[in-house]
Amino acid sequence: MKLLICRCPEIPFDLPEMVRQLADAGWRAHLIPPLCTPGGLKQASTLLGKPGEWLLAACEAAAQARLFRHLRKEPQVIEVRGCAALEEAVGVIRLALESPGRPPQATLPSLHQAVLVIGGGVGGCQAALDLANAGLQVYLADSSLSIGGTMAQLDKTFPTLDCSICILGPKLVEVSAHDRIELLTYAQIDKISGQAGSFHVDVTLKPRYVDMSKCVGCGACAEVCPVIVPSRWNLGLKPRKCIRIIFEQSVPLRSTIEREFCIDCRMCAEACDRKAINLEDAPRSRHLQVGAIVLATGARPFDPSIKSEYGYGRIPAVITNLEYERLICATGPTQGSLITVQGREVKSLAFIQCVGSRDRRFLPYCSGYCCTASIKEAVIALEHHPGAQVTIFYNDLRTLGKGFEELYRRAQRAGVRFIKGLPGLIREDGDGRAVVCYEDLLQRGRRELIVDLAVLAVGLQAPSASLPFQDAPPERDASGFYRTRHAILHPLESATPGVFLAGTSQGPKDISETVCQASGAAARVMALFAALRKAR
Amino acid sequence: MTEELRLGIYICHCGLNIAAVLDPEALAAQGKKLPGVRVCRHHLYTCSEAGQLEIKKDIKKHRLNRLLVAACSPKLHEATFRRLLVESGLNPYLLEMVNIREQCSWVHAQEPQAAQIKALELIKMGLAKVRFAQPLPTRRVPVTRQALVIGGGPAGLRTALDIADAGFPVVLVERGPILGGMANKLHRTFPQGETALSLINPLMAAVTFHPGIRVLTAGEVTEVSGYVGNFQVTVRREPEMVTAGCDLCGECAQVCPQVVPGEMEEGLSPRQAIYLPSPRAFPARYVVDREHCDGCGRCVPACPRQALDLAAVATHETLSVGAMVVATGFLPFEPRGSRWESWAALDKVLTTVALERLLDPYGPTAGKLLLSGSAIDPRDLAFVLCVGSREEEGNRYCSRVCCPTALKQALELKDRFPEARIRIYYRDVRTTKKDWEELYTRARQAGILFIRGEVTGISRDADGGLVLRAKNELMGGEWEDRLDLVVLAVGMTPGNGLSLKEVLRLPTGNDGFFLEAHSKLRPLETVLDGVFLAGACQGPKDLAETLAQASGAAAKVLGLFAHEAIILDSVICTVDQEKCVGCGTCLQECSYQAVELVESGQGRPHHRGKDQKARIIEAACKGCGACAGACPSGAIIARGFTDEMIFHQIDAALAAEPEKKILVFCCNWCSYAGADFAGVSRFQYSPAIRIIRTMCAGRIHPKFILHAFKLGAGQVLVSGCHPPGDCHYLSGNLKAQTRLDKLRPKLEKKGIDPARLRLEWISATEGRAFQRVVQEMAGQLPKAEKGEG
Repeated sequence: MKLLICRCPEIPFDLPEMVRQLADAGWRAHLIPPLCTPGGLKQASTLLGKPGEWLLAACEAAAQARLFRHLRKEPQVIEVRGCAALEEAVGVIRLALESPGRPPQATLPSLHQAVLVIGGGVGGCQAALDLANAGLQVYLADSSLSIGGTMAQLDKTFPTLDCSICILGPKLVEVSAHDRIELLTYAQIDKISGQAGSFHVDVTLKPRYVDMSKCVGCGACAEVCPVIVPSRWNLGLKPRKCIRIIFEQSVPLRSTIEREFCIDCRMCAEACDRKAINLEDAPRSRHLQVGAIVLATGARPFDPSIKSEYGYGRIPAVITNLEYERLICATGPTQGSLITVQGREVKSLAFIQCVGSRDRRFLPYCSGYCCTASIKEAVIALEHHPGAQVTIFYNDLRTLGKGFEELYRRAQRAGVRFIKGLPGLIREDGDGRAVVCYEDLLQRGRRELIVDLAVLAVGLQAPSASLPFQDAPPERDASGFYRTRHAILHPLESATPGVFLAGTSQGPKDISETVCQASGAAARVMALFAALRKAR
Repeated sequence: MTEELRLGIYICHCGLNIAAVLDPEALAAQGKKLPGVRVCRHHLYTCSEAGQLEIKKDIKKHRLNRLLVAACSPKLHEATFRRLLVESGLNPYLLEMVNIREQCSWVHAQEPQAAQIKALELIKMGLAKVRFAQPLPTRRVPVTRQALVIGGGPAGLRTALDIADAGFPVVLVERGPILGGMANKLHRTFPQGETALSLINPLMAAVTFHPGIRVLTAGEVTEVSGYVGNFQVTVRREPEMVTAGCDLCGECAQVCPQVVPGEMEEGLSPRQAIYLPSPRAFPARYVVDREHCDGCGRCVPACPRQALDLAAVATHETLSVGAMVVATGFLPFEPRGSRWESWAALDKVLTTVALERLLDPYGPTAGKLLLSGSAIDPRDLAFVLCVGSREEEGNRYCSRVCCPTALKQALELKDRFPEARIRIYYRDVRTTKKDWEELYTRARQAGILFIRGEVTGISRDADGGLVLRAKNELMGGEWEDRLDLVVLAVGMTPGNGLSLKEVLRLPTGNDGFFLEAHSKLRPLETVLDGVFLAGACQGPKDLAETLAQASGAAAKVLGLFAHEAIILDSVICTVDQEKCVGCGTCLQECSYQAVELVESGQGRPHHRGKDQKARIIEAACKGCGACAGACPSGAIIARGFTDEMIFHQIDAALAAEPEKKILVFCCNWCSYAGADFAGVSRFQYSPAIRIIRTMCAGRIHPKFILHAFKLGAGQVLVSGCHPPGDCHYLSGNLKAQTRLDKLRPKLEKKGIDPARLRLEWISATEGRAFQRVVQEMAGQLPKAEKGEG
């Protein structure tokens, strides 16, 4: 066995020292310029052309680039970049040299050319569409009653102020109409086992108490249902019936009974002329065999009640930005009028940035989307009430997407006031309005601003629930987001082979970044399948 | 029309987007009374599954045979409702979208009454058109399953690998002599600080040695024809003066007398006219810089491998590809020629790109901080952010990567020179990505000072040091800083691929970067089917985003290649053989050689004569309608935009108070999209505007304009893409111009003031221009009437 060591700039140890130590152990090592440069490659090719078994100490990327496919036998590659110290690297290399031969190839599993996409938000839908359009069978699972995710709840998208559901709706319909996509809504993933090429997934479809094949989504059942509960989809801001279609553009457009609140009056069953109500409905199990899994499970908004100084939960005039989106949306609790849920007219608003984000106590990172989202919301507020007093409190304004800076300027021209300085406290005045106490860092001095509505731009955090992976669950970072295999080189793969990442499951992102990533994840799945097909 | 008209009209509230200004219920009540209408409904969101379900039910129940949807722009949802028709067993072209959002409710928000009247008239115009809609045949064409990737930077490398790994052949064209693009100039990446070499070079090597990828360096795409699935691309390759025999010995460069500053090293080190572009990039071969080579020929005998051929000539190659990915990247902002020129010209003022070269062990100083040959040991140094970004004039956008780049470099300098006092002058520190904030925190912990405020000047003081003046916004007042090194954090600009704008007719946005089909949901697609975008050519991006997007573009190509054949748009032209007089005008008008003259009886090409008839070659026809716009006998049927449709649209538009109306003909690609953009931006304008959409301004026959004036139209506007290059049909805009120029004297003869007819070029991003033009025209309308409204 002979040894080549790539002089990779990423190997943090003293390489000549490494060569000396290996020589002491009786191994002669050739130190060559980085393998991925012309010089290194040329030298390596010449050396490797000599007969005998070769071991390459290089990176995984070099192994994957298959630089020596022209040789009769490609050399074995071992990775030393991850070693903690020189001694460990020497040890790893000696181990490989002294126990020659390739590691026994695991028997290749059968390849199931189907993909499970978990999460039916815009990212999951895009990944599913791209995979299905390329001819693969796709299962799209979502825990909710409808696909659409957070984007379905937004009023408008930045920077063009497109109506969110208007642009998303057709995509949802396209997903449901695609003959290679099977929608599994109201689904719970029970177990995931296996490996790249062959995963086994157990899924439970929760009972809707409505026969999906009979229901046509007419809504007659909801009209007669006597039980009224808050709509979680509208963040509790709007009442709904116990049996209902979750939202107007829901896909699938089917009714569901929330059994927990049902009083068994059976009025819905009488009202349904399709006989679709089935109060004896039971959970159903599905077993899926897929070759790859795309995690598009999204993120969840930071709960600002933990940041108690802003009074969220205590002061009704303090709401989150997602609640604000519902408030100004035509299908929201106020039919799109900019009034508080309590019915008060809103003449002044404050948007407060970095709630939870960039805060060592909560989320140490920037959530990226919130600045531009707040500017968009401020512009919409002025569209609703042209004379309104709109203020944005910020730390750094981070409008760094395409067309975002223009939106920022548009807001400035429209009269939105930007104040550098995050409020320290929000309290309530006698009229139920919010008093924002802040320090203006540019004008200096402590001040107070009384507003009808204070909107908290909350950060995005990783979902707390974890998926039931039996072997090798995808790694998460300190914040709970899925860790990519490499931040730059492999932004779409998790550390677990065969498990891909799309959208905010991997860190905060806006819609277009999510969509790009989702398409990218689809391409990486196709590349994996092509590689597995070739290997078999 | 043979069958009885059974029309369904659907009016969308679009939440409040339409309903806040218009009253859809009242429109529906009025719509019901229109002739041929069987059903007329309004819906909160017509595009939702519920809305579509309702339409499907109606089609079945009322046996509808035409559909009119009054909602948003057809650019958004025409495809949605066409699909609905297909699913209901109808031909997809029996649909008309009436744009009451972008071109009514959004732009007349302050005039709800006038908007309501306009909306009803727009619906009547749509009805006048859809009455004549005919089922159009589908056109299936095969897909050439080979992809072209334009640009060999990180984005192009990743896209090419992803497509090739899935088993489809790829041709990668790179304009420069080497792959790797801007990554070759990068030393370390953020946020982890790994070297760009260790990340990008394996991709470069993999592409170079991939059996499924052909790399054409020193190549430029000069001509593109065809359509999705079937493009013909001509690539010009620079003369190959150094052949594959080159073994990098470098003897040639040693004898070369020409010395010029090297672009790869940002001018920090000179090179010869024959040189190795980069020691770390592929393909590894010396190249001749033809601009500076004086042809002395000394290198030829110096080469021990006889690898030089100075007589080599440029070659052209034509490729057949089914899809293209544009990955032409960016150029760093160049301070020369900008308001930063005087700063950048100072000694010891560097750009971030030049500093990157100085820090790189593969760079001109082997990684040592040397300037003009002497080592510098900076005590006081500053970074200035937003150089060439977020400007009032010029590049208004944020370049995204300069903040983390400056942080990364500041940390590396702090590491090398622990004694150095480093400050960063910023406006907002924009470290939005997951691990970027960490970088910012680390920089502050390392003692790097952040000063918020605009830098107003940099000059040299008496002892040769640098003096930087800035406003300090947080501490207040002006601030003077003595420094011995200043780094300008330059932004990203478009540039490298701009020739493609002309060659491909690929639109760019206000910022100059290539424009995606939709900023949110179609960020990888362009308005051209089969042409996709990857990386920074679409807008500033960091490496991780670039690589993710590049994989995404590959997915789009793979989706196309999954099919052996695809279905093309059926909107093309045909000839009414009875009306055709065989004059051959259409032959001259067609830019695509898609018309031929045939013997009327036999169908055999022949000389022009009385018994000749024109025939359209369907595969070549693009459907622009330029032929129909010139046909003197009205014999050409521009499918989807026929003469009878347009005449009836004009009649409906001018049925009431024609003198108060401005009839606007918009081409589908630029001007209609420009009007939509005015809507999206809520630029308000007069409700007197009535828009008729055609595929191209070249479709507008003078007879339409005469007809409009005969009916008493106040003003007429014809609007198309900017000449010369923006037209999607080569020169339809210029054809329109020629026709209108000829028409003006005729108008004058008829006693019509030619000033009432305008021709304007408005692009898809010029919503502001659209507003300005129509407002000017509205100002010309008879004023006496205005007081009444």
